[in-house]
Amino acid sequence: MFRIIFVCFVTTALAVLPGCGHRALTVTCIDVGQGDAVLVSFPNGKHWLIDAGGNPAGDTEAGIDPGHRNVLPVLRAKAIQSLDVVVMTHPDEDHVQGMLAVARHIPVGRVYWNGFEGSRTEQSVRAKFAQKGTTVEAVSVGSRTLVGDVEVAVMSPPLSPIMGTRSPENENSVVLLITYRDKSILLTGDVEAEGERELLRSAQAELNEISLLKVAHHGSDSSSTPEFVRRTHPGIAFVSCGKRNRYGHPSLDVIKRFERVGTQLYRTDQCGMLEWTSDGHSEAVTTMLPCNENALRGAQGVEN
Amino acid sequence: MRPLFAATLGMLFASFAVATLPNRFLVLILMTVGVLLVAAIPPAGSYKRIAIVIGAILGVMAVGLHPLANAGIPDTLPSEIIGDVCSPIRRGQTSLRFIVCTSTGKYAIRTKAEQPLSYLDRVRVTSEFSLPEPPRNIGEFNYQQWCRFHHIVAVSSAASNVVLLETRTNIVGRFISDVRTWIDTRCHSGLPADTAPLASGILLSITDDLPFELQESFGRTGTVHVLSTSGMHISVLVATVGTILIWSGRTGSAGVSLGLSILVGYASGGGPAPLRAVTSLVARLMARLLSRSPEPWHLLCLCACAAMLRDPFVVMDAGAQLSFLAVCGLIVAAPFADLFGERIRQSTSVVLKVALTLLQGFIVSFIVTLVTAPAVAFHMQHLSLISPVANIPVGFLSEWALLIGAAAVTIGDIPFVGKVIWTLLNGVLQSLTFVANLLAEVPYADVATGVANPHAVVVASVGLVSGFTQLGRKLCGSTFASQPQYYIPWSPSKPLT
Repeated sequence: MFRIIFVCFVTTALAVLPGCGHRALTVTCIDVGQGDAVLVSFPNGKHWLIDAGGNPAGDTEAGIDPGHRNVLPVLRAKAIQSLDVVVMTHPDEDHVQGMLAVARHIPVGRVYWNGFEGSRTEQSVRAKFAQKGTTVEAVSVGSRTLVGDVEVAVMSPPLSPIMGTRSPENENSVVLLITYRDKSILLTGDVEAEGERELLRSAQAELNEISLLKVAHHGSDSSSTPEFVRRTHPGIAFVSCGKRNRYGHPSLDVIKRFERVGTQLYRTDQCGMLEWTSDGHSEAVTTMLPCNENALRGAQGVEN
Repeated sequence: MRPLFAATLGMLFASFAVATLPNRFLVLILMTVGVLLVAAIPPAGSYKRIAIVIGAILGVMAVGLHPLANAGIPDTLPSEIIGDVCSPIRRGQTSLRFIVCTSTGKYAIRTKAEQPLSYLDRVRVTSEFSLPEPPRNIGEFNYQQWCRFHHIVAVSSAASNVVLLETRTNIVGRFISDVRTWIDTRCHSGLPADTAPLASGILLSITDDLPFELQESFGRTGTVHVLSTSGMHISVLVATVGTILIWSGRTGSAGVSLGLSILVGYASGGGPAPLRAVTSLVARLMARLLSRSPEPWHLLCLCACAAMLRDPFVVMDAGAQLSFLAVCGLIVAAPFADLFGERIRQSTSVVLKVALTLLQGFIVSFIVTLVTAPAVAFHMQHLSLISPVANIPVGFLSEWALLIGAAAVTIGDIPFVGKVIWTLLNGVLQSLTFVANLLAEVPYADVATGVANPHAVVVASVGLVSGFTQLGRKLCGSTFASQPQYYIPWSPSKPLT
């Protein structure tokens, strides 16, 4: 009998052990409704979370916080016990509100933010991290780090912050460029037209031919300028936006810009969670919900 | 009787699985069946074959005749339905949520908060109905699946127009609903705003007003079960009343307890856990009245049959699976608890008695946590590591909260005494909140599991229950615990006087 039980336990352990032999770079765009949350899992087993979604109105009513509802379930389903780095691209509610849940439940090694004091939620998130003993650090262009053999470079905010625009917080979002062998990923936060111009000016050739682009500002027409789309020329682009959102994201104009350069566009409002995986040479995208070709191309996009 | 119960149960599960369910759910059913059958079949004896044949016939009949077995999603969704409010009304800040039962299935309704509705009212609902949506991220709660298992064919938008057609006169249902409302109101009037929701949560399982942070703390510490009406609630209340009425003789107190357990089970909404607890208690009390001594595995099989006959889909319910597994854990932990109980009785030092009692609680809590761990890891995608420790103070405090709460609700109006009881209850609830929040802050109090393989869950659950049964036999010298006696002190297995 004990032998049978032993065999049961061994079988269970082998079947349950998740993520063994994981050697790919994975970018998961979590569907948090109208907001952003991107999980980057590196080949060496490290995990970075870039934003954690939130209700744009800042509503913290129990049960609707995307941190609890969407982000934590994904981390748990992936058996992620801790995050090495958390990045708060900018202080808008729809990017940072969910961080409160993350701060409470998941040990975090380090927090990067763009140095822009923002909403009360953003301040309480930083305070929560600081209370937990996590290092909170403002970053700007030029910072680079190696995570295994993957390079992560901070492309924005610029050293002299962009001011005097409609939304300086958005313009000065933390933008990350992740490079893994032949593949590069650009995560843009909510950066808008002026920020994109600054990016193109400072980054030069680094931003040409991006493999995966997280479309800025949920596909708003204040971002993804024709010049930016043409230069970055992404093969695949993810749009994180809410189903039937009141802002009309993503803009039909933006969808057409990406269509013109042949980008394969995936939207969380139509496909649910999006996941891009690459070994540095080949790449694959999986979606949580069935996504037909029309949905990918954005043929059902909302006119702004 | 044991093989009959086991075989009936097995065939109920198996025939239902084969007849109506997609294959991917078969493993979940087998998990439950495996756990129960491993416990029940080995000592079946020579009546096994007859029992299996009878069980098969009963199972096929039960499943085939059950009105819910073939319930499905309609081809077209209506824009208007007429039916009865068949769930408690959950009141949010801006909306009411409830379920309407019609002849074609159930509909989940959301409407404005000011609607004057109550349980069992007949209503006409005009709305834009849609099918429940699938989860949009991995690991999320699968509302679509939950709806399917609860026979909810469609959900309404927030803009539902609800017209009250008739206030129904189900006297018992109305009475129970009124009693629940009354208890909830009493809690909110007698306690400060920060502890009243917790009292409602423990006494009535109403968690609508309970701060999300506190619910999280219970979740992280693996003690969220104190917020749902379970065997603990029913057993503690019934045992207390039975003990109070002991002067009327054991048979008399058993009779009163019998009625009370049915009433409490009905009042708690009749979910799988209360139904299990009530079935078990009724069987125990009936056995006591008949001077018989039932075995716990028999009772568990009987409870599973009762739950299955009420709703075959109950086997899919995560709460039901966890409830049954937790009882399995309690049963296999009983020999160990008995072993400690013996030592506690023999020891003369108070300090040693306390230490052994705590250790006994820890061992029981640890075994129950281990037995339920595979299913928890699968359904919740996270597992509380601190649960074996947390359950000792939280379980202790919540039992006291339950008892004092029951006393406060009933005699809380008596001058001075009432005030003392409410103050005492407030103190217990504050302590409970403090302990839960404190333990929830322990680093790695819970860990993500990422378990997505139901086969592993089946193997692990069966292995754990079998393993602890064998270990109990080896270490404690008994095949099965006679009863989890530490739980109900006046267990029927004790000699009647």
